[in-house]
Amino acid sequence: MTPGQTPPRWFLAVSRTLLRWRLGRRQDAGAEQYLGDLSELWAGRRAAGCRTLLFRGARDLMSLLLHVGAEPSAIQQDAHWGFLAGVHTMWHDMRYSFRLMRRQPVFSAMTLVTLTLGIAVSTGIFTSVDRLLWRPLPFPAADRLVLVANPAYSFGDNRMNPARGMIELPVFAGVGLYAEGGVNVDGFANPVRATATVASPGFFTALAVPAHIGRPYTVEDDVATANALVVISDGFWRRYLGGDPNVLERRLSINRRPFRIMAVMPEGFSFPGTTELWLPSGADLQVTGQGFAPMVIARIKTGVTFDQAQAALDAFDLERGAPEREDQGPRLTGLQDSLTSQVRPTLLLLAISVGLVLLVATTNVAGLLLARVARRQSEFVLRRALGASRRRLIQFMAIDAGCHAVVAGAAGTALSVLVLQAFSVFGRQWLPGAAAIGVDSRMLWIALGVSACSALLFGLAPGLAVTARPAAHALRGGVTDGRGWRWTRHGLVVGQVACALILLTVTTATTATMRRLASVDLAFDGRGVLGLDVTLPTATYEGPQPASLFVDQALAQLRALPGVASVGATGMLPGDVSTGIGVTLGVPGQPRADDAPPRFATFLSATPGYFASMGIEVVEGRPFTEHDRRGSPPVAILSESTARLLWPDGRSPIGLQVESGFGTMASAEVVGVVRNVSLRGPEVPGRPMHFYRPIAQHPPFGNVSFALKTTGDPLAMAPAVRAAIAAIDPTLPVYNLRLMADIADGFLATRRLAIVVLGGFALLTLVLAGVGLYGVLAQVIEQQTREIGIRVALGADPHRVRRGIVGVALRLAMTGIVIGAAGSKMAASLLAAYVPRMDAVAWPMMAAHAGVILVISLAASWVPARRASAIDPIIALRD
Amino acid sequence: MKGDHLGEFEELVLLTVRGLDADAYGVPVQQVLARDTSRDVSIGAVYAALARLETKGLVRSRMAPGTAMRGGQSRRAFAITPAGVQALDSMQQVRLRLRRAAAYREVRLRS
Repeated sequence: MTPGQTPPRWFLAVSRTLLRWRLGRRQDAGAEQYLGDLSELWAGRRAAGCRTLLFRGARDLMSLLLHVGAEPSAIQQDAHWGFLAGVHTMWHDMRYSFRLMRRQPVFSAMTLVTLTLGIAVSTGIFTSVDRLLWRPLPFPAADRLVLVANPAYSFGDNRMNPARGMIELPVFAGVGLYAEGGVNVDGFANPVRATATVASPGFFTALAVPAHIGRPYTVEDDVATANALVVISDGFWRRYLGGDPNVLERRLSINRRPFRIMAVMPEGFSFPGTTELWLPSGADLQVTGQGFAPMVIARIKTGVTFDQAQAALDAFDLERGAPEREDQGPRLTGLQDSLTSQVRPTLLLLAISVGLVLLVATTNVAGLLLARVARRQSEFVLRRALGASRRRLIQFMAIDAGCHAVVAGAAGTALSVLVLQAFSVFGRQWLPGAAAIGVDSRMLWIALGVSACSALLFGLAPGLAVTARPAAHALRGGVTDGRGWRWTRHGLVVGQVACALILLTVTTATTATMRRLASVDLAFDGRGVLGLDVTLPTATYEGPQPASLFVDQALAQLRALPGVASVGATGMLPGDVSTGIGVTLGVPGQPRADDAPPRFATFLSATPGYFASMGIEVVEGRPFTEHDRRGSPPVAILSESTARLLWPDGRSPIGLQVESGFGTMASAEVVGVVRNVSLRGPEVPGRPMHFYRPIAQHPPFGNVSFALKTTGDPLAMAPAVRAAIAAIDPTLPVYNLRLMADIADGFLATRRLAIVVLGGFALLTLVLAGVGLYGVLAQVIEQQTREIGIRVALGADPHRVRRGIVGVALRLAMTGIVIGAAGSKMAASLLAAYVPRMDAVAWPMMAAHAGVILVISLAASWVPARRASAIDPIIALRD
Repeated sequence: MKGDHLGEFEELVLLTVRGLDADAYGVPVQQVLARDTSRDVSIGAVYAALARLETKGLVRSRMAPGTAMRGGQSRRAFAITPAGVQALDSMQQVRLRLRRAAAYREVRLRS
């Protein structure tokens, strides 16, 4: 026998184990001979070209287990027999169930497709929510990690740190600050731009993640080396340092200064975001580019509650007594909550929509199965009358539903894997962390749970209901439709209509909101514009003069490239992650009233060509010119809302003086007003306050962003742009090459996607509701065929019969609409709490939806009603 | 339980064992029965019937060496006993008698 003809090894091993267990002490009979039989049967079938080898092999094994070993007279008393007989019955029930599925293909397809979709979508969404909202962060005891909003800082030793008093509070096991940014690393074949985070030593104490090699720096290390320390990520270590085990002896050249490598963090540790390098807070003021607004992270000690920690912080704040501070005191928020706060509304909205779709799908399936059970009630009644126990019938129905759940569960799981993969690919732009969503055992458990729940719900519930009546009772009452049944099914129809209306109304309201937000004017035109960043290390670009010179040279080089229409430079382009610098503004001769809020704006420097390159409209006055140089009279340009803030009376600010400063105030003449540019996207609340100064009068700090308006394909310019910058300074990496059009699209991507997804859900629900209504009504009417037949035979007008049936359907739909309208109102107010600036539910829109649902109900009931009233009374009575 | 009487399935199994002679063990018996009766006969049912026949003393079994087809596993070979032969013959006699009586009655009714 060739090896291919034998059963698989695992099959033989399972068979051997089961047979030995079955034979127990009667091993003399020998499990081996039966294994030989199984092998022989397998080989014979294989030679005959059988394609269901495993299925038939399992059947052989089952029959052997049932029959062999036991003495004929002792079979009934055999301890194993009861169990095996149970398995055998189950096997028969399963086969019967699959036969039924084959016999009613349309019904089965409807049920299975609905269940599959339900399982797939719910598994996909539950997994995403689980992964993004609920899964603990990969730190020890992550629930004890908090962020401190409005913290206090100290600036001792030329280092920024959380205030000493806060660090020493006994409720915290570690307090540290961090701020994200980026640095240039050279010494490799090409200069590298790395994501870097400024982190005080307390940052590592708070996170409590041990290093893979070495140890994170302490305050002492920091002082001893004058901040020239760096901790690197596992990814950086492998990618750029070749996973060198003696890495701790090496130096990294960061922004052209040597740094000692203190530690390599373990694989997967990249907090915050995608950090590759961690530097002490005084290490390099340029790490964070334009602005420095660090976050403060703390670990609450074991045994201390969140409220106790907050109380201790309040006491500290009070003791410190900072009367000049105008904002509120330090506030704690859970780290996980803070990190997911942006994603939560979108995900919850999705989850709610999916929940409603699922509800409709489940009522659909429940309705269909219930109707089927009702149709088979006569069979069940007969079987009970013939002596089948209630348990036996319920068991069959549970197995029947189980078979549906297994088939739908398998298909649904496969589909949800696809859904999740699509989600992790397409969701990357709009959900941070979506890329990490993959398939794992937790997701499979969720899928299993959802399938099992649906099996229980759809199998056991009708099973219990249908067998509750004593057999004799049922037989006497015949097998007609009972009042309880009708109520249940009518309830399902009403529920489906209500769910559909709620989902339609809510999704339309959300879609309208999103559409409104998506049509927001971003006030810049990114088409054909290439953006790029360069960081000028202070080690070589000390003071404003060299930086200004570099910008001038770069602009000249870039402008000379073929295909460039105009070039501009600024400190921060729309879509950049840096925090920006806040500047205090004032009007000379207009002292601020004591109770008036301070006037802040985001400080931006710009070159003469910036506004033209970015398509930012100058509403009044003029843009900067080449004459606005260092040494010439200081000038400024305001955004529209800044102008309004300073001169609320609406007068033109052109030619007026404005004061600005980061401490000491200096005056400048306003020469222009530009539109309000969305730097961070339209969902950031409040009006964008911007204050522009010429780059020549106020060189950017470290980071310079260039915007090139091109006449051809902007990305094709990339090599020429790199060469142009390298010609000025070959050690400067050009990074963040991006299409500004992509940034503008990215601002709106979340909404566009949400509109599409929600719209899809609404449509799906409508289809499901229609199918469900049709299915249940058709079954209800089919059961009444005899009654209708009698009525027609007795001379009833078929039109009236039809109208009666349609009337019932419409009454049900109306009830559902009334309940759905109330539910929509509630759901909308619930959602408004999560979706900012959500539109109120529009009643005319809801009326339109109700109309659509009524039309669908009419169609769903008309077809079966027509069929029923057209039936020949003779046939109806005979059936 | 059918006591000492032969059930219908047992009789078919016994006949097959007799026909197969030295090759009578589980798999060939099941295959012959499935082929000749066009029934879905499971291997377990065959063994159950053989076990009952052995208890009644109509067949006897011995372990025989395996073949390559069986992956070298041994097999339990069955052979009909004189009592088995006698049981089949007496069943045959009973059938013949009853058939003759029925035919006789039909002829009388027709005439």
